Amino acid sequence: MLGLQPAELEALWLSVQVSTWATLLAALPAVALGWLLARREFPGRLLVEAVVYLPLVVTPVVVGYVLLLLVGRQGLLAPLLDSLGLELAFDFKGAVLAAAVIALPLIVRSARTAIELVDPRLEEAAAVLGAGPWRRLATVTLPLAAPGLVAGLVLGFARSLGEFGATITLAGSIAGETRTLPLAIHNATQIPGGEGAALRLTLLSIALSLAALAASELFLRRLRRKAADTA
Amino acid sequence: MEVLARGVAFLALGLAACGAEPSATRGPEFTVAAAASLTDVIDEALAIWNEEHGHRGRGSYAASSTLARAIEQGAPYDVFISADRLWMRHLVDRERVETTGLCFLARNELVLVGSPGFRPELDSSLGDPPTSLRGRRWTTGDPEHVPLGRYAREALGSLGWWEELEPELLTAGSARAALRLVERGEVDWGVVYGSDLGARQAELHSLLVVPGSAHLDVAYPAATTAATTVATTAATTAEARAEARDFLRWLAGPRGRALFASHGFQPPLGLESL
Repeated sequence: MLGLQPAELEALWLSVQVSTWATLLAALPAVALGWLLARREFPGRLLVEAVVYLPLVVTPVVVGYVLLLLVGRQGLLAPLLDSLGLELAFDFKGAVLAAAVIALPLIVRSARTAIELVDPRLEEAAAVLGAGPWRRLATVTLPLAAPGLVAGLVLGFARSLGEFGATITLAGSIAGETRTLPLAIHNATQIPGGEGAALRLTLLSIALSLAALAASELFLRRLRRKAADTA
Repeated sequence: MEVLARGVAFLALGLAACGAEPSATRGPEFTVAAAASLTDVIDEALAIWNEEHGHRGRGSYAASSTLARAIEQGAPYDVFISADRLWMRHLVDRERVETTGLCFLARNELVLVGSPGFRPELDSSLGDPPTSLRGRRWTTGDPEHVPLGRYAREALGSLGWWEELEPELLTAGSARAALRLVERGEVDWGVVYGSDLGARQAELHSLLVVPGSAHLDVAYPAATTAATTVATTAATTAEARAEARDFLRWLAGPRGRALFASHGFQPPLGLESL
């Protein structure tokens, strides 16, 4: 396949793993935050919004550095992590964390919009029929918001695939552990004679991102069709 | 707290760098591309040179491999100082540097350093890695291309330590990046250059000076880059290159020699060849 070297296949597989874990890690808090921002007024709401969306606008290197100051071996949270036996910085788990934090705001945005578009009167109707808050969420709000939620998750996954700045700052570029596709491309461009590898990895990463987007489009279409059928 | 203070200092540094835009009225501008381990000494050399000659030489620092690659691609660098022979040879082979002025500026040592707070006794039975280092995360340059890492792999290999220690290796993109990881305590120990240790002896603890016989001597070859005829951008002006040649001669002379010595480098033997 494209004459890929073992190290390049390793980077590809690693990228898929990191992005999958990052998306899973971010999914629950992202949907919860999306719901909170869509449905609830509370003090400090603006602050929560600002903090959640910050990784969208600030350079990922800053995100990575702040995370390093927090969870690095000498970081503010180091005693806590030590007692849990968790090592994040310069580790696979660090790459996942970096990608999750970067992907989170994208998922929150989609989730929030999707939940805002669910007619609150449907939830009220369910309440009148005796459904409690969790039941309303599980049987009304989330199913109706599903297409938007899935789109958000896929977007987050695709963004994780492309993550570079926060990853290299927090997790370094360790072959087989944190050297995902973008980092492998960067590494190849740093070394004389790395042209071939850089080009192969670039094509691979474009193909992977296109596949992710195509998958989300297919999924959305199917959901829409299903929605049309039930309507 | 210290980390935070460093972070603030880092911010301040970034702002200062933005403010230091050079004025456009002075002499030709030339750029010295030097191995990351030379950052301090070349910065100081350039400051003196610019002060005395009213010129605007500036430094660009990265792993020698990264710089060699950039020069190969037509980066507008006038002088290349490599931390090993390999990447200088790489450019000589491709006629991207002028071989006439090629000289060796300094030599260096390899040192095993402990991060702040890591000061074990090394049991010195050769052949096996010391027990105090086993299973400890450590760093050096990426042995695939960064000179420091190539030296370190060779040295630890000939000591018989490499295979057992390699799984815990966190590779760094340049010698300075490796130093930073040790300083920050993200790893317990590292193999760095002796010159890098000099100013940081208070925090970092030298565990072992690697015997020079264990690896190819660390020598810094320097050359001016060739006027390019390849299809990439015509890199620099003849004027800047002439200036760069003068600077390189000065750097190889007694004053440059003294500067290198004050930064913890050893003088070249005069017998080095590529």
